[in-house]
Amino acid sequence: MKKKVFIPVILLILLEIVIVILFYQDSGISIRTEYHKWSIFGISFHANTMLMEWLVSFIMLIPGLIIGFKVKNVLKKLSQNQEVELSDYIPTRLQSVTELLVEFFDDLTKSTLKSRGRKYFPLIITLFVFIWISNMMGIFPSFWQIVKTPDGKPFLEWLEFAEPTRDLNVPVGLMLIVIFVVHGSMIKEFGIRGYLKSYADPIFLLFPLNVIGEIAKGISLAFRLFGNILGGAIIIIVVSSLVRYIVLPPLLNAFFGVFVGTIQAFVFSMLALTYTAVALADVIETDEEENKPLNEEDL
Amino acid sequence: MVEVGDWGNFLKFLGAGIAIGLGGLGSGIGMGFSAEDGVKGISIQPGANNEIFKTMLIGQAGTGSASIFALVIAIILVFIGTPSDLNQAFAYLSAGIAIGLGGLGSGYGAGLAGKAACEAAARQPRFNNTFLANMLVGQAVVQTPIIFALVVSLILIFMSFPGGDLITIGALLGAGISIGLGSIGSGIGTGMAAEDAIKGMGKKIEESGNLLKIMLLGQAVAQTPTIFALLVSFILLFIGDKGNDLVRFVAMLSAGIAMGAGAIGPGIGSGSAAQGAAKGVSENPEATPVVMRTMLLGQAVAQSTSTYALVIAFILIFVVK
Repeated sequence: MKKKVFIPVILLILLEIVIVILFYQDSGISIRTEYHKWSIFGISFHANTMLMEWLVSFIMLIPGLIIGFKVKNVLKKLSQNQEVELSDYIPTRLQSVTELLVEFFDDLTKSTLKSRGRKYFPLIITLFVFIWISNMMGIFPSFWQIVKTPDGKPFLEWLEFAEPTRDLNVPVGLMLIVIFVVHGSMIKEFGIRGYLKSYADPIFLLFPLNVIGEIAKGISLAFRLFGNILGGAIIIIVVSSLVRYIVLPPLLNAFFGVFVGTIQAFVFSMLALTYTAVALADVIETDEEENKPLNEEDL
Repeated sequence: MVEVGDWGNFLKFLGAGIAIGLGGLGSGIGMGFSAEDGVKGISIQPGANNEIFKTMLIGQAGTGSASIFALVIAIILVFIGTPSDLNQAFAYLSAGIAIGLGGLGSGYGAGLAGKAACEAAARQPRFNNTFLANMLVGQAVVQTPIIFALVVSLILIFMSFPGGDLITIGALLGAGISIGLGSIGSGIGTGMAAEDAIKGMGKKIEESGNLLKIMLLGQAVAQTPTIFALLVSFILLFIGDKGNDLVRFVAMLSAGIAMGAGAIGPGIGSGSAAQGAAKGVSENPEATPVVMRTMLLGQAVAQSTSTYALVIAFILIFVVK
């Protein structure tokens, strides 16, 4: 059985090597540092990154739309007293996977933030799904795109299927969202005075240390994601080019694209959740002591 | 402009030697760790011979990737053409320093994870695959510092820094030293966190999800010093200052040394905090939220010295004229 699999694989690799030896032209290694820029109201946007972000958002919408329509259909049938077939109740594969993901993050937020879990659950799962799909973008092949040259002529250009998280602006934007939510909910729970007081904790002398610590948290959150994804992308480009695109690229993509991408997406959302939990620790503890029940309908 | 000639090749080959020499050091020790506990485990549980052997080999392969990264850079440096000018020659040397020093920590740390997986497999051979998966996740995060170092090395090799002036040489050397030294601490620290988390899984397999969470969080925060070092390296690489001012040359170089050396201690220290947290959770899973919070606070204070180093590095780069 194993022999049957091995022979075609080896033949394919040999074919690949022959093709590479015959047709390979060393085009050098190019790492893109310049971006096409769109200028809107004087603010410049990186075109490729924006396109990729829209694509990611669109992909994120699809499962929600499909499952939502299905559920709506069943509910409509039920409300009109029509017969509902058994097959309507059986979840499809997509629905099962989505439910698994949603349940996992629901449990995670509830176990960390207790009664306030549901409030922050949408943010955390959105962060994870957005970053995860973004990181997966790098493993797709690229295609052509029409852009305009500085002279105004249309021009065919290679559109990289690049991870939007490879562009520093995206991780920094996501980090700002997290920081805004953490500090905003602290101000909301403890008031401005309580918020400022938390910086003088445990003694007043530590005020500058705490402020620097908050800034360092933000920097490390954004750069951890950026460094890992950019690093993986550069390694894939350079090493693939060095081995003339034989054998290694799929393995590199599997490790740096899929594996590291998933871990970093999870780490980012976990850190966002934990920073919120640490910021709201006092409130969560008092809720625990008062034994506030997890009221599903209430949330 | 200074004529490079043989000095270019001298610096290039020096870089290649440093890269694979130091880069292999950490992985060598780390692979030995895996083998150590693999052999111990087999002597305790000869029946689980196959499982432990598999875990040991895969753990060693994961540990070896640090030295493979170093090998890639060394091979590139050996076969790349003679540098055309002095800046390029020093960039090659700096690339070697970055990946060589960077391999030290990650190799050592990944070995600790492999060692713990072997011990856990000896304890509960039935759940060997769980330990293997968690070990691979842990090792992937342990490799982050060396991936940063590899990125800086590749940028140093493949970007062109034309000319031969003191300030650029200082900045290039500083960039390599910063990420090289800076990734030692975090590599060892994240490895320590993975070690006790996987050991804990061996004792309490039902807590493996909880331990994985603690491990990832602790490791992620323990990487903060390396991330600062990466930031300083990037700034030094892309600052683009030129000139032959001796003071600025030393300022650039010592900015790299400040950040790199300043990141070693906090990296190991905050990894130690994560290790303690993983141990604590494996012993008393009910206390997870309190343990997690205390770990984060302890790590934040342990990292304050790396923040001071970052501030000093910024002053050296931007303020000293």
